[in-house]
Parts: sequence; structure tokens; C-alpha cells
Amino acid sequence: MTRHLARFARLLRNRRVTLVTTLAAVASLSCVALVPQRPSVGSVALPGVVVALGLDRVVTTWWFRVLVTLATAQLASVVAYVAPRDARRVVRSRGPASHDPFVVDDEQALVRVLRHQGYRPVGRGEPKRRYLKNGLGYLGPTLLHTGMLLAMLGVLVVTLTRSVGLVTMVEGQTLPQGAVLEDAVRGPLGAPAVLPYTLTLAGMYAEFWDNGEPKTYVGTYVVDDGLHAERVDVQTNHPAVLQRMRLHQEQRIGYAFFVTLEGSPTPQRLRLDLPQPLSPEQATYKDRVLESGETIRAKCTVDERRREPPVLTLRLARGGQTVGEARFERSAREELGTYTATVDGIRRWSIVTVEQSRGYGLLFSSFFVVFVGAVALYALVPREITLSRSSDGRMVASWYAPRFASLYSHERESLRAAAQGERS
Amino acid sequence: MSGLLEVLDPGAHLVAAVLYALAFVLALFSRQTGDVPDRGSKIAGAAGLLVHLTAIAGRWFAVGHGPFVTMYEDLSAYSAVVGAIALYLAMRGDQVARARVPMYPVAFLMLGVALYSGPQTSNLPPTFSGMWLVLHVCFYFLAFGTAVTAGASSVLVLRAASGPADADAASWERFDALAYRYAGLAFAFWGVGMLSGAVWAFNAWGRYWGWDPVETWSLITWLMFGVYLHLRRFFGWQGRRAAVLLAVCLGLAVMSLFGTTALSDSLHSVYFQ
Repeated sequence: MTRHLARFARLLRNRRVTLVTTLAAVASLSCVALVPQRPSVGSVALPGVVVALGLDRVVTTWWFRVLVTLATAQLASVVAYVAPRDARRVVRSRGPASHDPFVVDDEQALVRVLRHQGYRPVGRGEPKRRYLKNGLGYLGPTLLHTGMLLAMLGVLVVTLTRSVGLVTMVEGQTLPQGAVLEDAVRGPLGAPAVLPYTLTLAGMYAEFWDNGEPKTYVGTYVVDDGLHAERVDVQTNHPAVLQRMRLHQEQRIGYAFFVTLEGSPTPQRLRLDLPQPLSPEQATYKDRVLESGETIRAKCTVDERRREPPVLTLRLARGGQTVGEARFERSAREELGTYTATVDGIRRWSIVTVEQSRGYGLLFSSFFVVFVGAVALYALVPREITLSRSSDGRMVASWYAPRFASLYSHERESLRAAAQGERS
Repeated sequence: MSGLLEVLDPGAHLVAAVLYALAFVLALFSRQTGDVPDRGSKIAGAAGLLVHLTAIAGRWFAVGHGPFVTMYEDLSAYSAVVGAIALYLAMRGDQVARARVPMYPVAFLMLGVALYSGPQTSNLPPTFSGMWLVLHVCFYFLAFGTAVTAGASSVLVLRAASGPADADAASWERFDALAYRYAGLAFAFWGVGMLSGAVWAFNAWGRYWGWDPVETWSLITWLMFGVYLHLRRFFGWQGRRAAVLLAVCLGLAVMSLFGTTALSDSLHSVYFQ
């Protein structure tokens, strides 16, 4: 059993298998980039073979998941193999033999230059026979692959425990614990996509640049778990973490206009949620079909620099013909075709993302490990020298750099010169 | 003060571009390390970088944010990193200093496109805040700069491969090793840029990956750099064919950073205008 497992692990880290996996990943992602993917597919007619192979939904196909799993297993196998190997390379008492060793005539001078250039003796015994510079560089492959493995495992944990959804709220509104989230996504091990606590949007604060463009959105929420209530400010790009729940303030905010239409047998009360205009020159729109079949098109404009309330304009259409228009700038009550429209109130609305997935710590800590590993691998190139006696009794030095040796040939030459009593 | 800095900014960028061009011409005519054109190239490169960094810092002070919103700012920062690595190579004083020769035209060209796109300023939208955004863009600047260095070294490898048979084998080998090393750094910085971008996206939009065209092309580019490194390390690829593959990787990097934002409907293209 153990033998079979070892063979399988060897197969996973086989150079050709690794290369084929990586190229297969490149090919799959090229499909994602070049073939329209669902749900954006619609008007585009794709050939039957593309649909049959799942090239229009690559990342959700079984074969892509197999590929990702295989890549993760390969990374795990590589880490298990290179970690002890790299550790041995740091602490070993002798380095690899050089194919171009040089004779040491003046050992003291060589050791002096070695120390001056940052080479440090390895091992506790005397006399020192191995001197190593940038020993951390030997751990580069382990750290880099460990970082990539952590990222893959993080993705796996987040995908399995995924639980995320949206909540649309208007200022003053309270949603009870257990309220179902909109556009919810839930992984096989994810928490139910419902509000875990009672949530109230106490207020929505928006800050704007001098030209009226949005600068900061901050929602003030009250989270109540039944025992105590906590007030928390959530700013866009700065999520708040409350026990096992993260709240992300979305950029999707705006003005909710509460309108009453009189003129039909019973007054109609409407809540029109219009997106935040991104500048004083840009208006936002929303259409609403009334019970009578007529359509109301709402338009919102606002100049946030003046700190004035937003202006609502309503247009009433019947059978495609505009039959009335009202602009609520000076008055809250206007005639709109056969109706009398009254704006009863204006409040801000906001969308907040409720996130309960796990594994983000694992995913995001991989960033640091990859960085350290990469620096160790490509910037801190280890160099070492091993001193030994040849058969004729002379001291011989073997200089070795595991990678980019040609870039350090001058260093080798300076050591050779010192060893042979030359002034470099 | 801020207004004055904004007015001076395009002029300073233009001066930096001219100095980079001068550094290129002088480096092209230098025959050996330390001769007059070589020293002139180093001085022009250093002066260009100094003016360039001063312009970036001045604009940063004037507009209140780093160089990561408009195309002008992005290209300027990418170009500055290329200029900085070119100067670092020049200061090494050995044969690899020649690798800077193809790098200066890249820095010059990027500054030219930046100036052509216009130095208009733009406000930071609500999602553009926090340390992760800064890390994300800085690592991409570094990734592109190191990828250009690898590409420049590959150009010299290709030139040597197409030259006379008695070309200096030692210097050819060094440029090949330099291309390998900087491609490794580009791979690492690119990966870290993607990961820090994932953290930023998670904070900004509540999701760490969205299969946005820029994200997808970025992942393809990173994997192709991985293929290059793998082929070099384990399959003995070097010289001409390694240089050609690296050129493909560099092309993908350009496509990811600039092509996708211009050609596709990407979340990133909203900002890179």
C-alpha cells in the first residue's frame, strides 16, 4: 500500500505530468477568455461541440474540477518531497563537488575573504569545511510551492464553505434573523444563506469629491443577536467582521423615493429605488409598471456638492405615449397625467453583502509565503564553498551555486584569487 | 502649489522620456563598460529616472493619490520601474549591463503613450482605498518591470544566436541566465500581485475572484511564465527557443495589462482609462 502511494506521489510530481497539467490549465483558461461563458451567453450561437464539451461553462465542468484537484495534489506531493530535501541542503556538512575545483594555497586568506563576502561556516565541528551564503535561498522552492499549495487549499475551503448573499435595505429598515439573502450562493458545506442576526440599517453616509463624484460610502448597521445589539460602521472596501459574519458595504447605493399616486379608486403607494448618480451631470433611471398597465419612468438627479436633496422626475406613459411628466424640485406634490403624485419621503437605500464562508485566512496568508519563497528562490541565490583534501594532501575548494552560476562567476574568481594568494 | 505641480508634470515626463532616449543611444554606442558613452548613458539614465520619480511624487502630492488610476499614471509608473531596473543593471558594471539597451526604448515608448493619452486627473472611487490596492498595483509594476528585463535579455540572446558563430559564449550564457532569473521574479511578483488583488477584490466587492477578462488573462500569463520556468529548469530549454517562449510570455503580459482593459468589457477597464 505504502509502495503504491509512493509511486503515485512520484507520478504526481513527474516533470512531464506537471507540464501537461499546466498546459491543460492554460488551454482551459484560454477557452474561458475566448469563448463566451454562461451566463453572458445568450444571443451568441455556439457550435454544438463547444456546448457538449462544456467550453461555454469551463469553470463549472467536472473536468476543470478534476484538473484543479490534480494540480493541488501535485503541489502537495512536490512540497512533501522538496521540504526535507531543501532543509538538508541548508544544514549538510559538505556541498556538491564542483567540476572546476581550485587549489587553496592560503586557507586563512580564503576564509577571511569568505567571511567578508557574507559566507558563513556551517556545522558545529572543527575545522569548518563548508561555508554558505544566502542559505535561505535553498528554502525558496519549498516556500514558493507551499504558498501556492496554501492558495489552492484556501480556494478549496472557501468554495466548499461558501455562503454569501445580498441584502437590500433602506434607512430605518430592520430585517429579522433568518431573512433569506438575495442572489445567494452556497457551497456543499456552507452555512444557510440567511441572515444569522437581526440587521437594521441605521443610516447611510456618503462623501463626495469636489466635482460631485462619490468618494466614500459608509453604512451604519445595528446587529442584534437577541442578547445584545452592536452598532457598526461598514465602509466600502473595509468590511466589518462580526462573530462569524462579514458585512461588505457595496457601491450599489441610492435614493429611495416613497411616492403616493392619487386618481385611481385607491391611492397607490410606490417605493422607487434609484441608483446613486455618479456625478451632477449623470442621471439615473428606473421603470415601474403600474397595476393599470401604465408605465412610470423615474429619473433621479442630484448635485451632492450643494448638499441639496435629490430631484425626482416622473414620466407617465400609456401605450408607449407619454401622457404626463412631473418634476419634484420645488414642491412635493405635482400633477402627473390623470394622477396627483406626492413624494412622502426620501431615504437612502443600500446593498450590503453578507459573507459567511471560511478559509479566507488560509487563502490570503499564501500571499506572504509566495512572496518570501519567490525572493528566496530568485533573489537570494545560495552560494557555497566546500574545502577538502585531495589525494596528494593539498587543500581543494569546490565552489557551487545551484542556479544562475554564470551571474556569479566574478565571485568565484575573487575567491579563487584569494585562495591562491593573489590580490583581486 | 498643487496646481503648479500638475502643470509641470507633463513637461517633467517629457524630459524624462528624452533622457531615457539619450541613455539608449549612448548605451548603444558604448563598446565596453566604463567608456565615455557608457558613463554618459548611466548619467542620462539616472537623471531621467530622477526627473521621472520627482514627477510621479509631485503628481502624487498634487492629486492626493498614487499612480494607479488613469492610463497616464499607470504607464508612467510601469515605465519608471523599467527605468529603475535598467539603471540598476547599468550600475552593476559587468556585461549584463548591456541588457538595459532594449529596456530604455520600452520606458520611452510607454512614457510617449502616457503623454499621448493625456495627463488628466481622476478622483479615487470608493473602492480605491487601502493597503491591498497599493500592494496589488505595486507588485504588478514590479512584475512588468522584471518581465521586460527578462524580455530585453532574451532579445540579446536572440541577437547573439543570429550573429557570427564566434560570438562571446560567456556573455550569451549570462544574458540567458539573466532572462531566466528575471522571468522567475516576474512569475513571483505576478502571482503575488494576483493574490493581493484577490484580497482587495474581496474587501471591495465581497468576492476574491470573478473571472473578469483581466483576471483570466492574468492567470493565463502567470501559468505561461510557470511553463517557461519549468521547461528551463527540468527540460533544459535555453538559448533561442527559451527566448522565443519568453517573448510569448511578455506578449501575454502586455495583453493582460493593457490589451484586455482596452478591448473587453472588464471591471478593470472602468478605471484604466
